[in-house]
Amino acid sequence: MIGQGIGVRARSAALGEWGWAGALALLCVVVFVAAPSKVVNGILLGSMIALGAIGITLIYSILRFAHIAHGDYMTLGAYISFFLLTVVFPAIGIVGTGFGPFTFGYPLLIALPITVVVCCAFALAIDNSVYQRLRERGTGLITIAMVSLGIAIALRGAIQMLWGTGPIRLPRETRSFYHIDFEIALPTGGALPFDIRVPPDNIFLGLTAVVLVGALYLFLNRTRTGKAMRATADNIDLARITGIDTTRIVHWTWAIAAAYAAIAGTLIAVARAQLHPNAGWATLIPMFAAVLLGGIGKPWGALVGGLLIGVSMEVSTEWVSPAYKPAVSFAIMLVVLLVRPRGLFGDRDA
Amino acid sequence: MSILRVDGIFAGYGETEILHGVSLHVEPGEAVTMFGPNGSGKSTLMKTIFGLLTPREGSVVFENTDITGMQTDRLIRMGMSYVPQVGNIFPSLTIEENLEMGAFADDTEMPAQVAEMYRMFPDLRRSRRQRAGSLSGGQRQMLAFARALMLKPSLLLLDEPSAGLSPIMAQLIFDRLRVIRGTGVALLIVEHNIRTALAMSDRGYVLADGENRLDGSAAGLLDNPDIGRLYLGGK
Repeated sequence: MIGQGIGVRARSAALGEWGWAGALALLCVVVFVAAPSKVVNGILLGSMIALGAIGITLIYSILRFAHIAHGDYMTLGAYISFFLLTVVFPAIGIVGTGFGPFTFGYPLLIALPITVVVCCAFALAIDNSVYQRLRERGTGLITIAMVSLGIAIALRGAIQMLWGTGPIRLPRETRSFYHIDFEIALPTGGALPFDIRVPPDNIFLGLTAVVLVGALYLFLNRTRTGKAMRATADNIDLARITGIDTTRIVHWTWAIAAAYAAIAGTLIAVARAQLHPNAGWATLIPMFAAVLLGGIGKPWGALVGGLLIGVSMEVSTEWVSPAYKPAVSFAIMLVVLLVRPRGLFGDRDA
Repeated sequence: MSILRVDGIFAGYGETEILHGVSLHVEPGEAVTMFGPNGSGKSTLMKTIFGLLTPREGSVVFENTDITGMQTDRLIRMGMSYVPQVGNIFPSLTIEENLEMGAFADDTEMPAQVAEMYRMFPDLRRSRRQRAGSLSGGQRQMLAFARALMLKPSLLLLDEPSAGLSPIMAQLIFDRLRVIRGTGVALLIVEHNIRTALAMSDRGYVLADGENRLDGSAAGLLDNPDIGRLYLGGK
């Protein structure tokens, strides 16, 4: 038993982070040949898991607890967008469906920034009224994580009271898929045909994720506040000694995490054309799997992890019922914890 | 007029009182070494001076201002800086980003100060785009000094600057501290490497059980037979 354990550790050390990433990339290529549409859509849907996972990993890197309410922050974002689109906007004359190739209308683009502001305000209000007080009292991090579970349940309950416990269908136009047909010539003389079908909405999801991840990259590496956020994640005591206003960094962390959660929650609902009070909660396991897969506290790890989890979940439907999607992400999470607990890009000592 | 005057400090953590009325002072541009056995309260006193711990009694006066319990970022802007013993750099940031963080409280003169730090620590310039975590122990200490000097402090608090380093590296660290002192910065150093630290200091304090035990000129302390017997490994 002991010998086996050492063997696994030695192998994982020998492969290194890029070795692991390479092995996974090779696996992706193989899977791509088997189910190209599902890989492409998995990446696009996975980009939303990645946006949520980035928020969880940022909160962990600064505040050191697992934010269990993150999925429900996403649900909140989706319902606020829905409320704007179906109640507020029609009342003031902002209506429309069929925006470009997409199933939704241009009002969504107006709704998203408003939703972001509301969700940021919500997250900051919760931090101010709950988490900050717990931190000041020196409450343990496990307790704080459990408090976030309580907030998750309370928030979901509030959403169910306001909008009902069942699913709500989103109004949208029917649109056809994008078809991408091509063949890859094989050296043996034959050809490998590909027929990739992508719903246009998924393209919108992917583009949004690219913009948001790019913005985060610039923020963390080019701005004073972003660098200070990375410094605070490294060592919050030294950050204080250095004169960094860590309270402000905490607020920025919540704002970014809540904004990305609100957008991801809304766009997941748009892609599925339905709202459900449990939608965010059900995304929590895939998001945590993405966080652990990428290495906890690493935003770029969470991005890669989210994409890999998204692909795995979509591709699994080739062989098993879609009902097992969350189970697939849970299985990946277990394997990561057993084989490489620090994840793909995690620090050795984490 | 003293740059730092600590008067009758009583401080500790929770129920435990560690400092029972400690006093000391540092004059402008002076180097002062503080030493004593483990648990004598040296690090606690450093934290109290830097406002990380609020004393129960007593006062800390810096440049004629009572700074007892003052916020850290205000202290930094007033010209006090602190290099803790461990965890004194940001490992995942580059060398240059570490220096930028040193100027977070006030970045008006940052580019000039970064250039000045590279002049004082040429090793850092060579690796300025590297992650600080890749530096050796001695280089990390240099980076920690540079970070703490970014806002041109008038007083630098140093907690065990040579801890965990080889004797040769420790010597280099003290050479560098001499250079820093030469720029007019006052130093308050907690150090186990007493002989080397006193050799570059003007005065020294001996703390024991959270109280002042002895103080005097560095030369006087080095010649004191009791000090020799207790702390310097003499007969």
